[in-house]
Amino acid sequence: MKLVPRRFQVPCLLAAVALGSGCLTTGGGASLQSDLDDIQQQLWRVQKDTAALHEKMDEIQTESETRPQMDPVLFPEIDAGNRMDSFQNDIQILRRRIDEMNFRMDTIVQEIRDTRTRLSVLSDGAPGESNSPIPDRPGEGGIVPGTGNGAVNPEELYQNAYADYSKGNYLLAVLGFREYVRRFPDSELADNAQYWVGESYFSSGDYEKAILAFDELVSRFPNGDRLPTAYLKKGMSYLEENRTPRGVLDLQFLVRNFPTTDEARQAREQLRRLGLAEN
Amino acid sequence: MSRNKHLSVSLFLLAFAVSFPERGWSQEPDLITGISETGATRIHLALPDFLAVPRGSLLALQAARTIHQVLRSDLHFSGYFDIVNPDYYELVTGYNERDPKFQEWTAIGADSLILGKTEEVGEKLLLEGRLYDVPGKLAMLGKRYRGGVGSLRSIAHKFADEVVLQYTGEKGVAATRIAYVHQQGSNKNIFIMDYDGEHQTQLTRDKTLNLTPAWSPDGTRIAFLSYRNGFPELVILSQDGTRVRAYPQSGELNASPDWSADGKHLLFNSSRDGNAEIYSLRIADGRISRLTHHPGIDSSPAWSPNGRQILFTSDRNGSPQIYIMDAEGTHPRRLTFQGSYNDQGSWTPRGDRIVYTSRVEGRFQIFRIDLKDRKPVPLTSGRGNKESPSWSPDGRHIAYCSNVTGRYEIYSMTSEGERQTRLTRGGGNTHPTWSR
Repeated sequence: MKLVPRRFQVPCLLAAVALGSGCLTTGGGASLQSDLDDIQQQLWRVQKDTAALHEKMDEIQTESETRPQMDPVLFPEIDAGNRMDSFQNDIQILRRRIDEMNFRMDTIVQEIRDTRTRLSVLSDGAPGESNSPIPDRPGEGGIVPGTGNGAVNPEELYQNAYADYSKGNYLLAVLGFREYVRRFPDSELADNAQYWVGESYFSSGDYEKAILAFDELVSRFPNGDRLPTAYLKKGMSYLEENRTPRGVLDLQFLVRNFPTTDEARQAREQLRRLGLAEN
Repeated sequence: MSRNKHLSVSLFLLAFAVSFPERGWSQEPDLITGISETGATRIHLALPDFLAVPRGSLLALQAARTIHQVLRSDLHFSGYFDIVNPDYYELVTGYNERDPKFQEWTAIGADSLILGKTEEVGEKLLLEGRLYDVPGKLAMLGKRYRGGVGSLRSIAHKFADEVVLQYTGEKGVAATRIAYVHQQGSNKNIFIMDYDGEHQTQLTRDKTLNLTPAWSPDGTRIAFLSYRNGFPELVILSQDGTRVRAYPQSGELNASPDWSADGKHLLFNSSRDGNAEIYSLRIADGRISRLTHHPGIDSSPAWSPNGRQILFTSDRNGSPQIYIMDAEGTHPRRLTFQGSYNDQGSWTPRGDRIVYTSRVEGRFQIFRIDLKDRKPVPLTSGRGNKESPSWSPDGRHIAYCSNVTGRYEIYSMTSEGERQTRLTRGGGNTHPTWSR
């Protein structure tokens, strides 16, 4: 017999905690507000699930009171009386867990509120951040000292977001890279970060948002070296969306304008598979 | 091979009923998250000798001892448990599964208790294992297995994995296996063994070369490079050694297949177009896509766990270094900058770490890079070469080969480089790869 689905509570909660803490480390800004809203929405969903769990518990208790005979699979030698005791005990433990879960959710919500407060302070006054030293490449370059409000280590922000992407935490990756672009739009890695926003959406299968992010890359960083990749992924996103004509246009544009790149080679391959001309 | 068939027939679950989810997460949340993050805090487990029934049954007694010993070693290996000193067990008396005497186990410092029983029934053995949360006075898990003498170790491994699952939400690695290459004379064949080096089984029996094995993500097949027919072929074998498929290759350099997480593609490197490049093979129809186009040598491809990135080695900037590119073969970026020879990158199943081989003072050692800080951390040092690192599916251990004894053997260690343990003997053992 099953009281609750296995590991029902813990992953929900961990997800919520992960989202919460990821947010906290990515710093501040108005663009984060909407993401925080998303996260809070998710929290409410967890709370709703908890409420459902409560109901389930009540059901089980009613059931156990009316149906003392349990399927004696696990511990056949324990007599029915003992089983009932252990049953009641389990319910108590589950209730304790729900309480704990509620408490933790309250904590998370409070943390989010605190972060929001900090964010509003940040967005009011954090001048000159975009002039912070930027490493030539991830893993190199100095650490920006944490000098109170608003000090964010660009390298750390970028790498954390990239690690999130590699772990498959695409939502967190989007938050981090978006934040990087917002804070350090003139840095050498800004176009890369914008590329990763698109690539994170692409990897998560959200091709519509991927297209928007790649469009933004093209318009904001028209001279960046991520341009060919952006056209390739944008074209592929359209193909994935079954908007083949739009996809083909992007791929052909890529082949025409960046003919010697790896991306153009991939685009030619894609066009060949579609039985289409390369340009 | 035949062992596994035998296993699936002779070993089956009699009863499986867990009435409760994990133990008191609410009581000790830090313990649970703490151990999965750092491995520092461990659960104190009491594991008294298993009961053998009926009294005087030598079979049951030996089974009880074997299972107990394998289970202890599996749980120790997992890194989640410290076994409470067995000398203290005699302080707890009169316990049984009906009345485990939780208070007395608490008094000797146990957080967790496993009671087990083996019973001789006809020709077979009946095995029961129960896991208790001692402070919570709670039965967490009860499992009953039936099997022959030959399946005792596997049963212990399976139960160990269930115990780890209860505490971490993720199955342990005790039932996983390691494939490797074993050299006999000038021939090389593919072998597999349990994660602890037991049950070494020969998969190919060719008087030729079989190289670089790679597991399918579901653990039912192995891909490798075979010269059985006189030319290189990428071969897929089922676990009993049957050839499922073979993809003939051309060019001098063909190696290193790596299976994508969705099981649909194999990466490999080949000089089929004249220069060593990386290719992706679609298993369903054998369609091959070339991913790299560079005059340098590109080799050792490995998927990221989410299938969106590929790790590879390239000498495009002078010396062999490790790079990452997008799954489409575009956007290559260099990962390693320290050392003049870095190769054999392997991505942890969790996605945030990479291990690889680096030449230091003329010897190959194993290094780890966390993607968050990109600082290379040496995991091995000293005499001999250490090569071919491969992650365990839980990302907590690494298999590798080393000639530190003078001959190449397979070893395992933790992801921090601790507890380096030799798994094979006799020499000529290389290219370990851990099943998913």
